[in-house]
Amino acid sequence: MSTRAAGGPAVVVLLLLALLLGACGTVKEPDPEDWDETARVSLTDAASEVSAVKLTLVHARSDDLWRSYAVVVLADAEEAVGKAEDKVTVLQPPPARTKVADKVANLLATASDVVGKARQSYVASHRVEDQLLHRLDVLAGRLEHQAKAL
Amino acid sequence: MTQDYVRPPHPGPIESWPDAEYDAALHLLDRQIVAVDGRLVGKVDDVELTVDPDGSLVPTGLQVGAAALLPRFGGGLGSWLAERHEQIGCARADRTTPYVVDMALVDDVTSEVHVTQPREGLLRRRVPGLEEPTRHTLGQLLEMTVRMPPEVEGPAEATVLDVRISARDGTQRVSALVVGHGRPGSLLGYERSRDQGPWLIAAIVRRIHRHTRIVELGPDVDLVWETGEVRVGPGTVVHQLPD
Amino acid sequence: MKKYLAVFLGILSAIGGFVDIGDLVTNAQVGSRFGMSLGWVVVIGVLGICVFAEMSGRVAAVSHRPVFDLVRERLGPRVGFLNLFGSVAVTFLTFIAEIGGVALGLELVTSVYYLLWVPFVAVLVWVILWRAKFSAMENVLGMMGLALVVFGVALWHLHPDWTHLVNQMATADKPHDEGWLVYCYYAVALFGAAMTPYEVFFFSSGGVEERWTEKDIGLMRANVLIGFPLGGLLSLAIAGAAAVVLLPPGISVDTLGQVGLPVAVSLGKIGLGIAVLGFVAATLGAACETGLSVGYSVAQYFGFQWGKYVRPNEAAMFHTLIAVSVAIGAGVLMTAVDPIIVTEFSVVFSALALPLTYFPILVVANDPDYMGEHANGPVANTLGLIYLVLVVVASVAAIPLMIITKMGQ
Repeated sequence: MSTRAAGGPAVVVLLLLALLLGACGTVKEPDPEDWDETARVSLTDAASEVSAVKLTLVHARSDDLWRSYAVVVLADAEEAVGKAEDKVTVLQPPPARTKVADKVANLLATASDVVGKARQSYVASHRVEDQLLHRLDVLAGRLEHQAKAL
Repeated sequence: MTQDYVRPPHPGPIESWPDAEYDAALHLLDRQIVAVDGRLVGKVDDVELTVDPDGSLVPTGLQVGAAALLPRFGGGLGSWLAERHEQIGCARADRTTPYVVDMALVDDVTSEVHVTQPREGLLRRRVPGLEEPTRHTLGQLLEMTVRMPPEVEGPAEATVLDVRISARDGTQRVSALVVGHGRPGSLLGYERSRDQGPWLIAAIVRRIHRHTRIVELGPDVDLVWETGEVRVGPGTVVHQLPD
Repeated sequence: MKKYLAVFLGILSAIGGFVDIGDLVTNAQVGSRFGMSLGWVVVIGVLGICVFAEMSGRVAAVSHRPVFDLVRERLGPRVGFLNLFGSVAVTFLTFIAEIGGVALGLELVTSVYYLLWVPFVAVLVWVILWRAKFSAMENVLGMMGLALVVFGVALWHLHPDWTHLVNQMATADKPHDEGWLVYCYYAVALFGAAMTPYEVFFFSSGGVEERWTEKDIGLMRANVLIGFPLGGLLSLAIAGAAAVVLLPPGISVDTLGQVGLPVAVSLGKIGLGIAVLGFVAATLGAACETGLSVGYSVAQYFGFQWGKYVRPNEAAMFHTLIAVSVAIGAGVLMTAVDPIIVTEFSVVFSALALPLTYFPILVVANDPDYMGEHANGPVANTLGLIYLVLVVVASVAAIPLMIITKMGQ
């Protein structure tokens, strides 16, 4: 009984502290710098994955990788781009960044789309079009450019 | 398997076991107990010290098991853990009694402790006899506070860091206490000589333990087990650590 | 003749056994982001593991005491337990990462999702730890791990500008778009990956398993001083291949599949096949080593029978512990946590736990009552002290760097 009596106030104090800390952590207004940071990381990640997809496809075409390996690398990249996209789009963009936010979201959506299509067409046809490679190249460049611009 | 078991060599003060002078915390405590068949038994979780009729302390057994280990975590934590251990198995009458390997079974101490029997069924709890001698443990002794007389230079209050055991007429007895600040084991073996490397660690340990002394047990040294105190009288022989 | 063969075998399996999932992932990540500018950390880390593995091997040969016996004897039950808790937690995390690594490797071969492989890998690891003889396990998996030499061949075949790579390494010339804090974070991670504590638990316990005596010190030294540095070269080759192939297009590695890409680019299908074999063998070997190390550490603290030199029913508690860790490890992976993230955590926490292991080894390797004439000489002690300082610095810096850089973003 005595431990309970002694433990009671301590628990209450702890809970109150947790509540206070939680209140401090709640965002009232999104911070532009935090948003920039997240967007930059996501764009760089996406650029890296798009480049990886391109490299994989180039070498899959010249038969340097076997099929299952290439498929796994492509699928992993697709998942990673999707995650990078989610990381930014779930954030409420700060008022000063609404315009850029649209651009970033569009870019990431395109990346996700292209990488997904690349994986699908490779699995379906086992052929790699030059046009697709070019598209990936341009996309990686744009993602990196946007990351640097932030 | 049993045949190819080779004992490690034993340099150091316990070479001539049992006729040896050694520091119990450094050379015996926490060592691995190995059965005659080469199988591992357990650790020396504590050492049982029995009060001889002449008043001296004789190491009579090695204690093994949670009941011996947990109190050695020291201070409040040790007793808290021991209580929880008791609570978990409160239906068992012997839950606070550790297993004992009788000292008579120990035939050699190297970097491990060798016993003369096979592992199977080796560990037993002591069954109290009719005329049970008074028993203490090394762990208790290592928790004691030492009150030094004002004549001796150095701190007035210290703790027991190690317990020196010497063989006299074929029986090992506690002969001296290493006392100083800190916890048992914090000397890391650097009390024996200054030459042990690496110099930086040796220098730091020696610096921290510059007030550490060796107190010879004699008629003027009073071990008060009830209060956990060692009262050192003015006539006691006190040495510095060897260089 | 037979003796030389033993030396040769030992060195080969030390090379193959050196690289594990932590080395694979961290080196490829670092190579793809920083080029060879962090290569010097690998060199320092490998020298460090040599210094401490040699010490712990010598202690094991002379006194038959593996590392955790020393920890408890010198630090006492309380600090020793804290140490046990920390070390086992890190080793267990590494164990989970290794099982995940094997599963990811098998996914690359079969394109069957790795989570489906996890239970099979877990059972395989358990069967090996239960049934296989110690030396057979170590040698077979070590030899297969040698397949990772293909990274060296791949790097060679890419005809890189060697002077540029060496120059980058010597001058710590990091790419401009990466910050110094992130650079330091990866330095600590690489250091942790190279010096993982489980390597000395396993190495010294293995010495006791194989019944080393003073006569085996020479053989042990050859294994450590030749095998580990060559294993370290493999790490550097992985980083180098990533630096040449993945850094220019801006690909930063975050999957095991991407770790193998440079080999495919350089050597094609056959090379890639050998690399994947190397992935599976190296991680499987390390999964066995870490699984055993968990059992070794706990058993050596509490003193119950451990080891593969006795039949499983004579070391029942030890094998129970291993079985339980395999089950929990597989369970953690089945929550679909990313094994690569687990790996990243495990190398950073390794760096954190380093002093816990290395301090007691250094003290006991100097103890004349333990070591007699084989106590540390001035060279071992000087290096030991320098590394003790380095290890403490890495340990203190690990968590703050991890938080500040958000794990290297």
